Amino acid sequence: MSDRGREGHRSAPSYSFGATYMDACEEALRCGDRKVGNEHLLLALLRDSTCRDSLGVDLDAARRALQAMDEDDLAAIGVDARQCDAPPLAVHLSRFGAKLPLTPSAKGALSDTVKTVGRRGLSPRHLLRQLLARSDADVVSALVARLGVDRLAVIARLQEV
Amino acid sequence: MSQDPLQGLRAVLALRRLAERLEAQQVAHARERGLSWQQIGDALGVTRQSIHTKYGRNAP
Repeated sequence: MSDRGREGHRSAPSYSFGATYMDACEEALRCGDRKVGNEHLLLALLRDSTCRDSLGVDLDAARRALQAMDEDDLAAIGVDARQCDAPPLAVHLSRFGAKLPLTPSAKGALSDTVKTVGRRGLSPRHLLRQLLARSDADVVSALVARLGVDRLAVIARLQEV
Repeated sequence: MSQDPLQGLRAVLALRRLAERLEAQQVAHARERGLSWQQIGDALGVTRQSIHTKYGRNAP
């Protein structure tokens, strides 16, 4: 499929979710997950400067927050993970020729983004907006709250970009 | 159980992640201490091949 001839378009001419998905796989494997969830998509999007700027958070901070959230959640059920020496996994993506499946919710976020924006003008910030607009129960909501991000304000800002 | 149900559910996944990372860490430690892939596989209840495929130097 060629995207040439659309250079005049405002967004990156040939952005599709491929690269974001691969980065999200890496994030999932790093955490020790077997599926790519919304939180991994969010981490993947932090490689994009527009997304990073609109959230005001960088990848390292977000990874640390996710880890800290795990530790808090585990502490709440009586597991002290801070005592465990179990660092994030060193990921060699080439090792995992097999791609990780998406969670149903992540699949929904991707397809809703395409539904809303269409394939032509797609850019990372559209996916970011969709991820932030998922339910309050979503792990992304908990994560960005933890990072002190005003979710609704970012959603509004992303609409203007 | 008095905690937030969402937090409890997230903890289930967090525990799986922790187990996965712990396995990698413990396998590396066992190798450093000279345990064979056979011994590691036996201890984890899997075949030598499967553990070597997952963690060996020449893992695909």
